[in-house]
Amino acid sequence: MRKESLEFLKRLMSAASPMGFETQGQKAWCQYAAEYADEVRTDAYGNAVAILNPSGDPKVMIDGHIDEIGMMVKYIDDDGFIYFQRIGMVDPALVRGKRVNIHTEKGVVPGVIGSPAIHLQDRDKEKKVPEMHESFIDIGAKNKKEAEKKVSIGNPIVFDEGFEILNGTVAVARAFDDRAGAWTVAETLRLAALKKKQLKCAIYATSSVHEEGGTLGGASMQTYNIKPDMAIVVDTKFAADNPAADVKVHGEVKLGAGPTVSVGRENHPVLLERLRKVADKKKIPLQTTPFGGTNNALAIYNKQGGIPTVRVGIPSRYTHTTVEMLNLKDLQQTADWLAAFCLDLKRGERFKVKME
Amino acid sequence: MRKESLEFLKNLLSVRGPSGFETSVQKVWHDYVADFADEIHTNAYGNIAAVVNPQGDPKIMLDAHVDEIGLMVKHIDDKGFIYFQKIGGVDPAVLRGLRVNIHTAKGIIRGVVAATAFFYRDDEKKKKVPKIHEIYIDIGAKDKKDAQKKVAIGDPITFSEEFKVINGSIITSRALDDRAGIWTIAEALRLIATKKKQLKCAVYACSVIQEELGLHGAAMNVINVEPHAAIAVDVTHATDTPGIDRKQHGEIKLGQGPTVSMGRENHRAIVQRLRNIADKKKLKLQIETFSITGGTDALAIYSKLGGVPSAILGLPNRYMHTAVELVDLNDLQTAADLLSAFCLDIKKGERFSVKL
Repeated sequence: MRKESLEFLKRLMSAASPMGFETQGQKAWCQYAAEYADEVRTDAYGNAVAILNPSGDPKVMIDGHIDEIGMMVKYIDDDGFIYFQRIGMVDPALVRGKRVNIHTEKGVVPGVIGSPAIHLQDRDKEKKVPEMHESFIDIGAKNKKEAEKKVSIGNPIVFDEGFEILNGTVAVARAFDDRAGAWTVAETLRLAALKKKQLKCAIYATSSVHEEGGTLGGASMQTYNIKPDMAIVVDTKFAADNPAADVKVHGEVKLGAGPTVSVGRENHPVLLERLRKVADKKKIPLQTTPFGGTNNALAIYNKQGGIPTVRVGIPSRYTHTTVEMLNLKDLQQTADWLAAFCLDLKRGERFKVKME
Repeated sequence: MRKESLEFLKNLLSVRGPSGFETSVQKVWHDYVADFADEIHTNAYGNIAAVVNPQGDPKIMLDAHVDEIGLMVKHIDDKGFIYFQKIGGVDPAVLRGLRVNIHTAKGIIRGVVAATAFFYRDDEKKKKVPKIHEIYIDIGAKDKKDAQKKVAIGDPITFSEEFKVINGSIITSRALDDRAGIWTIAEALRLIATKKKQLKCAVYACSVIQEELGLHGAAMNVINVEPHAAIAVDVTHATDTPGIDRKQHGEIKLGQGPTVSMGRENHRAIVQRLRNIADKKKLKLQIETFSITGGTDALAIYSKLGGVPSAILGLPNRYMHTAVELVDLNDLQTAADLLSAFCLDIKKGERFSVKL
């Protein structure tokens, strides 16, 4: 991976970007994309799109989402402890014993999510995972009044964990879901821009908000605004090559074995075949998985009378934890592959299921 | 708190010392006390005693333990995932999603404690806290061979979290149990050394090993030092957080001063003397009952050598044995001031006994 591209990934990962509060992440993304795009636009809710060769045909939308899961201040008790609700699918079993940052208008307020000492726990009771409302954030406030001076109801919260290389190209961070995708679509645009003269299509690289809330609202807005002829959605994909997963339940996706393509449902078979051919030609290994889960492809494919869409995955372990893990090689291969695909598209090319 | 003393605390927390592997912390402690101690002794297992006024009488021992809880590499599976056992009272409920340091002969290897994505766990498993052998560390190794090149069975493992200010004098770190204690006795010794001319007793500040595995370091050290009286400084549970039953565990607050305990190993005459001095010096002091949820070094000391009058000085600590322990620096400073005033108040040849 190019040094500047890795630096961009690190900048993305250090930004706090919980669903509904994506401006930090979006700003980092737009700054980078603006260096290579002909035009960068943002919309009312803060979606961003970087456009390359706008007069090209077809219009290819390549989407990643910039938002991450997190929490939100819900209630401050008399002693100044802070209770919270989830933004997206945060696991109540994993919140305790972690550091968090509360993002307020005046800046970041650090805190910890406490857990009663093991000595004070009732050893006869079977140990159960606490409900979300049974955990709280301690910001070291004396009382409610002091806490309220620092923190307000509605402030977003993210875990205090950054990017780190573990072993060679294996990296760990909170929220690779889906900064990995946002990075990939920007990198795809950059690579395609290097060979702009060959490019027939228009590339709309989108960094969408609001994927994690369950509404897929960001991608819906982007689709309406862009009216693409086809779409490729890049999101992380659950890697089941580890003891925390079961290949019989989750299928077998491995870290470092290349990007994934999903088959069925929203995934358009002809577009998928075309993507596979480009991967073959470029000797980029692909892993195939059945459709599943919620992702932006679901919000895009049935709009405007039907948009051929494929969901592409970056293999990732331990999704929605503070220790999401991926292989930078998979990331780079995905960008190389999608750039090659865009460059390979013929002028005016369209995808349609054939009735034979 | 004096700037250099705060730096010393940060340094103590930036190095690792799980029970049985304490040397790097002992070195930091040793180098700090060497500036003002008259003598420094170490023993076969790595206990350290720093002495001021060795000719004094009585010999007062100030004890705290240098070791922290941790984990140890137990098994590496075929895919290179690492299973571990506990060193001390680690709570399996708060391990997943943490980053860890594995301390190998060649240096630190970083890893993460893995967790299945919430939406991929079945409902039964969501509610249960895993057993320690059901969770593992991922170092991003390709396979067993790759992992074995880096990590060996028996390598100790610690949490990542170091010193961080949460709010004013309230700080968080892993292993404040009991770095807070060895900081306090070093600081007390420093304060005592500045008033050495008034000092009648000999002060042995002892940083001892292997408390977390059964108070073993203190048991060795008391035989070596042969003190006339001892005060063990360790963290105690602050119960001023949600979810802790004060009717069951008593009420101890952060920021309200250190604690003395009543009963069992706590010698009445020493406890009374500490209380009198705290009154005289207007130092905050809280009172608690002797601990029934775990012992401290005082328990190993008091019954040796025919009975060594002992007491515990407790430093209020929230979320003990997690990666986000919390203390108030003011409590640490008050404890050091109290210990120093106590030692300076001891008369030549004074002994503590229970009066009949």
